[in-house]
Amino acid sequence: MIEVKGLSKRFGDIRAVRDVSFSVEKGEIFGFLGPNGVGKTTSIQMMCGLLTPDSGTIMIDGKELNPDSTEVRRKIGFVPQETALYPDLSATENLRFWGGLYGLKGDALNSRVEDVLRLVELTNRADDKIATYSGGMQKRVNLAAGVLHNPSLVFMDEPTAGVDPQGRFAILNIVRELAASGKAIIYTTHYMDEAQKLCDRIAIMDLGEILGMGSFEELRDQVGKGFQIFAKGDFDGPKLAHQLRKEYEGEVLHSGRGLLAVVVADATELGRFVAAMKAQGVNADDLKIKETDLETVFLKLTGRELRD
Amino acid sequence: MLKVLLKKDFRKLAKDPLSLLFLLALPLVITLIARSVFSPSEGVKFVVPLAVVDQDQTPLSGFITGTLTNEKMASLFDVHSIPLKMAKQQLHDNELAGIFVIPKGFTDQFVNQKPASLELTTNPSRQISTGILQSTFEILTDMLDGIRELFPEQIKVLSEANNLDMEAVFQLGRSAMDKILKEKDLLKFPVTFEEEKSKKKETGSSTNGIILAFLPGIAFMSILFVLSSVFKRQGEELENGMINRILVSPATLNQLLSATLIYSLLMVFLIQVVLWLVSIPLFHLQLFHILLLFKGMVYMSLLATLLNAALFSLPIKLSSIEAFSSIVIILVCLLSGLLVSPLIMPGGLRSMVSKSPFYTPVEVLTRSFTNKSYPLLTSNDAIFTGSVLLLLFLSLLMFRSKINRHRAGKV
Repeated sequence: MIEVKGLSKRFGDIRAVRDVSFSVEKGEIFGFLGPNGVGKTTSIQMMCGLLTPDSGTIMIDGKELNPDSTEVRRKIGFVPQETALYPDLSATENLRFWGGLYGLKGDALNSRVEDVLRLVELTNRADDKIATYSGGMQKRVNLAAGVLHNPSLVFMDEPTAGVDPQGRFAILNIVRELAASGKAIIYTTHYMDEAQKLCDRIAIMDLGEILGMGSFEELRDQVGKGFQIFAKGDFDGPKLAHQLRKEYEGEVLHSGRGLLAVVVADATELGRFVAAMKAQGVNADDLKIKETDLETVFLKLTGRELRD
Repeated sequence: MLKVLLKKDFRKLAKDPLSLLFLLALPLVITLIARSVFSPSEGVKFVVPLAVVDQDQTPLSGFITGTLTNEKMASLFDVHSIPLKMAKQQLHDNELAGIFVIPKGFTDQFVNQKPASLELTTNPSRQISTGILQSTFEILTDMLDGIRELFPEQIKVLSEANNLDMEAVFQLGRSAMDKILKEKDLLKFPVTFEEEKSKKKETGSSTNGIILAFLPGIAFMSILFVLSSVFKRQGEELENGMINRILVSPATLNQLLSATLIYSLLMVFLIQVVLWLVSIPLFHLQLFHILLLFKGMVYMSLLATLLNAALFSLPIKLSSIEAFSSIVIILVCLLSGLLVSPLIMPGGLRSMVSKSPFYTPVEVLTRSFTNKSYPLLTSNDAIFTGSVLLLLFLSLLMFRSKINRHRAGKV
């Protein structure tokens, strides 16, 4: 559905996006994972035609995206991070406006408005002003506006940002439904659990580059199945890792100031690890053991933690 | 696409009853203020107190005096034939709006085809009455010039006769009188002498004059306020991602800006329509003054649009624009005579502002409300319109560029 090759963008001296390449098929949910400011939104804006790339090509359904390609833009749906709706208008009026921009009118428009309101389960509040909606409901209408014209490719820029768990759950279900109907979805988020549960494939971005890409299982295999122990405290991570090496033979995933993460075969290794730390006279303020997840993968690939 | 964008804007307006009320109430308030400045209370006679000093004492000077005391003109002027010294004292005491002097030797100069002059001294604290007097004085001198131009033979006979024939003079004057009576309609200057006089006694200042000085500013500020909210909303939409979302659709940036501009102008047009509808019966405006009023409002709207477009095109954030805009608007309004009329400015500044093409909207608007004669088109119109449209175009280009910069994350 979309094929991106060598996409790059520079703002002055800052290289916001560097040589990004990937492709997404119909019905696939493709996640962009990374902390704020790593180039996710810039990449999305280039793929939507809002920004012109310095280099690279974007092919949507076999046609190249360029500023004048109205036909290609009709195939794109965009759900921005902000709630881009008119608060004084009702959900129906907002949707009718967005539909009108895509040339929908009359019965076709009415029918689509009804369809998407049903999709986001807001039919009963359709005529209420957006300003009276909760944050989660507004985000659902925001999503509905992005898919109203039935695009085959939908860009969703952190659609669950600032939404409570119940609201997130509802939105994620809608995204799955959309993918099941054959739409290709490019989804940016900095919630790792969300990306892990939702996305078929994930690209991990840092400093404008894609550092790793694949399904969660493929990314996990880069770290190893097993478990990881994360110790945090007032210590020098690399020095502690060196000291522990004599008594403990686990692979060091990451070490830094106040942080040491090691890979272990199973959960029972935790006791041995704590004993080894005590033998070195070091106490951890925070100690946890968990199965390999995207946070571990991100730490392994970027050398830093992904903070919400 | 434009239709969809405009429909959304009007739907939003309809959903905001306070804005709609303000939009409709605005011209009503402006008109009512104007009415309170220019119009009489019910049943009060419209008269301007005027002293006529006839130092020439000839049949011609008697005829001139007679035109002002004529039964029909008596509805406009309260003429006192008193000595010059007494007249000056009464003017000083603000009891007179002006002194009209026919100097000795005027008739001689007039009939001998030599430059002849009449004198008019006006009371500066009575700006409205002064306007009436100046207009009348211009018509009167035009009429006398006309008599000399149209009837040179008769004037020559009168001159050679060395003794003015009253009948001949009145025959000449009859046609001139027709003219002055026709022009009198243009002089229907709705002001109450009694009301104005009593206010002066209470306050010791020209209250109406001050309101008159600020009226164009009130009108301009109101239009500016309406347009500012339109541009501010555009700025907000830029910052909250709405514009980005619109631009992902098949809508283009040019279509978006065009819709904003059209919406702004339609808003202002709505204000004008209400203002006209209310003004025409209240002021008994003639077609000419309706056109003049239209021109004044269009100019003010253009100026306000320019000011907004220029401010919002600056490469600064919306919050900073709001703080910055008040300073810029006050400065621009001061310099263009919009906030304070040049009538109450010091001499040098008054001269500079009143000659500026940017003073044109104020002048036009004031004259349309006061039913004063004024050319419908002057050279200042061309300079004003041309420069404002050019600056507006440049501002819109800058605004467009700002949106693009914002999209690139540079603002």
